[in-house]
Amino acid sequence: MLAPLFLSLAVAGPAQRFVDVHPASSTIRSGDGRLLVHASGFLAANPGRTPESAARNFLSTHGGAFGVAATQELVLRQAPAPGLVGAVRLERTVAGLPVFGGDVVVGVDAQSRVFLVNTREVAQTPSGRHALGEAAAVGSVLSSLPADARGTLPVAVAAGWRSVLGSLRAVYRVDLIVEQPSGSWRVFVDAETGSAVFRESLRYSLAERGNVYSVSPAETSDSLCPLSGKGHTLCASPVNVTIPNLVTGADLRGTQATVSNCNGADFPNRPGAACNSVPALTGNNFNYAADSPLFTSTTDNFSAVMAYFHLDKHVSFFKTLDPTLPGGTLFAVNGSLPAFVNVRSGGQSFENAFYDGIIDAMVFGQGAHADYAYDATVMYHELTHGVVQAWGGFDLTIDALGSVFEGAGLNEGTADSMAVSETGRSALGAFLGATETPPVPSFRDMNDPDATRSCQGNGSQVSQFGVSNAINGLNGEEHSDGEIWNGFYWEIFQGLRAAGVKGCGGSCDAGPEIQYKALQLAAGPAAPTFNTYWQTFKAAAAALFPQQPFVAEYVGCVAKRRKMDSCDRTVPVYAGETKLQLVRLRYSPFQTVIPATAATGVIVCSNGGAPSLFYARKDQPVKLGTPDPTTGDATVMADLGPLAVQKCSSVVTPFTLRSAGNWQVLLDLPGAFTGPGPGQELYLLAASASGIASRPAASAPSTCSAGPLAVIAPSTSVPPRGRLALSAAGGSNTGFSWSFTANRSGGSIDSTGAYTAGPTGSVTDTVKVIDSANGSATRDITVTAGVSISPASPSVGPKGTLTLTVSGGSGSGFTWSLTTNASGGSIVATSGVYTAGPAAGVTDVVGVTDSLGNTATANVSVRSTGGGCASGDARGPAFAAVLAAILLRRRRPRSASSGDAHP
Amino acid sequence: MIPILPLAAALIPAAVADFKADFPGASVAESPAGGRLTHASGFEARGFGDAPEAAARGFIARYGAAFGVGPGQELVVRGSPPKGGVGAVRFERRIEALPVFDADVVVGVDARSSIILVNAADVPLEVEGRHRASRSAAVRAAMAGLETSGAPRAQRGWRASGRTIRPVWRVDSIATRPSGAFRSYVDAETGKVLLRTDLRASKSRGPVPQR
Repeated sequence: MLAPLFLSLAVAGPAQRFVDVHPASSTIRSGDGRLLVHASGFLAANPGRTPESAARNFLSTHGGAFGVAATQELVLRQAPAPGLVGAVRLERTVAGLPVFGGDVVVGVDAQSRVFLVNTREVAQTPSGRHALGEAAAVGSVLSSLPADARGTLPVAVAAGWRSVLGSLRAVYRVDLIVEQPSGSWRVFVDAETGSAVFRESLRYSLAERGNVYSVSPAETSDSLCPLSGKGHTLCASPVNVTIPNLVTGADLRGTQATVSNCNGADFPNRPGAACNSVPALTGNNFNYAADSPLFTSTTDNFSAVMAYFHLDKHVSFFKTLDPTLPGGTLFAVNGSLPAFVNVRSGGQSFENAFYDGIIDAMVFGQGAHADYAYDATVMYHELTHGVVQAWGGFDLTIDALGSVFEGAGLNEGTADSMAVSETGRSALGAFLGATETPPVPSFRDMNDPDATRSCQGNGSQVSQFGVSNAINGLNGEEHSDGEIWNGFYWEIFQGLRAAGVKGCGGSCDAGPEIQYKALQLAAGPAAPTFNTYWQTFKAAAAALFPQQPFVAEYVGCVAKRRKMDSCDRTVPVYAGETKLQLVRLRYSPFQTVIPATAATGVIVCSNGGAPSLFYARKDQPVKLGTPDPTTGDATVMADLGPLAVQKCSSVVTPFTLRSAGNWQVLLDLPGAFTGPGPGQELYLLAASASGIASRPAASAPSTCSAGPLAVIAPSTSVPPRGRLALSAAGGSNTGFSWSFTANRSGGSIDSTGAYTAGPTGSVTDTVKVIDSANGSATRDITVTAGVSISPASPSVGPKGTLTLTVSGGSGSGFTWSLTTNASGGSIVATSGVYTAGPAAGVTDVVGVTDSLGNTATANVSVRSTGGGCASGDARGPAFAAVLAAILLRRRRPRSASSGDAHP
Repeated sequence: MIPILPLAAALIPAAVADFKADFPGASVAESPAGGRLTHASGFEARGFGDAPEAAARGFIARYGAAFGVGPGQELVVRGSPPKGGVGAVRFERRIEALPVFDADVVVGVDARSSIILVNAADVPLEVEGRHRASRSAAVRAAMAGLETSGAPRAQRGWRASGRTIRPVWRVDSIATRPSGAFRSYVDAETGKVLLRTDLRASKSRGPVPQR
């Protein structure tokens, strides 16, 4: 039974022979299966010193597999230099004429080994003659155009061959430009019959020109416009740019974006619907004028051009970060996500923009004072929502702890993050902010104080929903909650940029590359949370930067410093604090935790009075069980409730928490899915001022750095016995241990980096920190001079006075004393004014101590001769004391200039 | 009701323990309902395959139970990075050829096709209920209280609800009042709306109740 096998080998075609020789190769066959049009994943060493000779030698053996026939000559069109990786491009010719579209591309490596072949299926037997002539061929093309075609201009004609459905026909290739309808066309005409055998548009991916704002009327590509009051001025002018990736150039249909103009109509409500196409102007451009300074036109096409340009730009931005396309049928990144501009709602101005996950399109409103398509940051934001959806979406759900709503905030945060990554500036919507009344700098800012907060908040009182004294943290409104992610991302973006960490092989910022990968890894499963999303972000950083592990460590450090690892869908509320919570998906998006120290009360009320239920459970979360499929109501495990929630008023009755413990509170809006539209309700929880623990003091935040490990010191010098709180940042950003490499002052340092200088001054200590990756860094700390007294060895007559001065040490809190008082003298403890006693010929010892306990002493000789005055001075002690007092009041530097002393 | 072997449910804690023992440095998030993992990262699992999808399938075959991938669930790949790429291998869960909505399993791979991350929806093992409600009944339930202008789209499938997976209709509709793109999940046995979300993501803060 071996005969059939031998037979099959004997008759195997060239394509099969190639596969047999290179069994590990990846190949793609032609439509009829006879030939190969692609092969890779192999390495063929061929004799030949140059890439061209290697390619030709390879094809002499395997050319038949790729349809290279004896009737074809291969003419070199391009080849890399020897030693370089590249493409050897060979044009097929038959009877001296080119085979259009029949090039054979052979990939060679640095050793001129062939590793790839790309080509197109080309029929092997030529047919037909070039009988028509070029002029007749052009005439044939022109006569095939529509009767209303205008401005036709043939620009090139060439004779050659083209493979058409298994036949290699003699053809003429005619290129022409048509003004109306606008297009650039390539037509292949049968060289015997004059019939068009193929026509293609050369405007696919071609570009036209058009007018746009580089970002918005309030922002150029370089900077935001100056502020005037609280809003930015509208300093930017439109610029003329290339409008890329148009399909035909006749309108704003592109390969990455498609925009239509609703001219003031309501936005479409059906998938696949469209508004009016936006035609190119005469001259094949989109140089429409901006609707400035009013921005109120409902029909301007500038708006559409603006949208097209920036949406296309943002798609390109995503593809630069990662060319991998999401699967599925949604358009964002995969294709051309539709956008509608000059949209109104219900015949009224529409003050918003949105991405709609059902119609899979973006809508940009025409507001009363602003066109939302005039701000590129808004478009970057909305397109990102479409990208999230294309990768699987951040779907929301309900679980045992309530609604899992953080995905909505993360969707907004991700959209903001990708938008600011385009501009490199923290502000979003500067133009829209400028047109508000009163103006504001932006509609969101990654540097906003709200963006510094953690999920659980820190007790700072902020204004939310019109309430001015609510504590911060999550609140259930997605744009507000998204700011928590914004602050985290913006710090990462800036930190990696400052450290010179680049992504995309050096062509992009690292931040957006990590963010886009995190988006891909998080989308799909229902309901990402802050806790899973930051860890996904860190995992993406580790995978994208395997050679720079500090990048992921830095991400983890920033996340922990911002308490992302404490995002557990709870928010603590302490004594006297007020917390707001918006409920959208029936149950609380987070449970408030009230640390009761005794039986106490909390006020919980609703803004709208929607029927709502209150549940509380001591020392553990309120938990939901399986919903009854008939009623939709879940069983609830709680110690308290269900209790009806009252509408907020001045007479709301508090709920009583019966005993001390950490009470967790869950709210239920039973009508959320059954009432008109998506139910939502805003709730207020006010904790009593008594019977509830006070908020603990916040701990000092750690420092994170994307750079090398470094010691951070609040000062480079310190007095003897002085303290410095040292910290470390960079490296692995974790696992720090501290030590000295030089301890000249006799100081100490503990495990937290708290350094205390020793008593020896005028020396330099060197501290060292080691991180968890065994990286190290050192820092010199100068210990300044110790305490000293001037004059160092003064003398004075009996009952004479002198003023001693002190320097060094901490420079403050000096206390004087007489450690030896042989003369019977005295010293003013606060000023150092010394008065010798009556005994002469003795030595007193004066001491001084600073605020840190550093000390110094000086011997004062009390001379045996002279009267009551210090030597060399005629003035008495009373005068000296007054003078000293005056000098002290003037805060002059202390000196021994009372005139009483002889140094 | 699709019976689930008691043994399968009992295996989940053991599978979670198994995963944690094999990857003690991993960061994990557990289902609030207990048991299953919904996230794992900070680990590297090698040797499950040379290509991303093969590696992801090999990993899920070994550790899937820890992430709630149980018998009766078919995993259909929805996307995968090219070999050598860092990215997400995305699996859609199916039961009896119908999708389990919002229940994808995403397996992150690095450039060597090592597994570095798993994100999984919290999906219980037990399946309860039958597809009895008609499409029109589901649409009626989903549209209650909404003014719509176009025909809604409805798709049959499954969705986690509490401790069971329920048969559902997923109904998408554009409403003019209140304005929104609403996705509703309607229990396909009882006709009750289990969840409704708005798929419109806007640039600014949405409608917020006034005090």
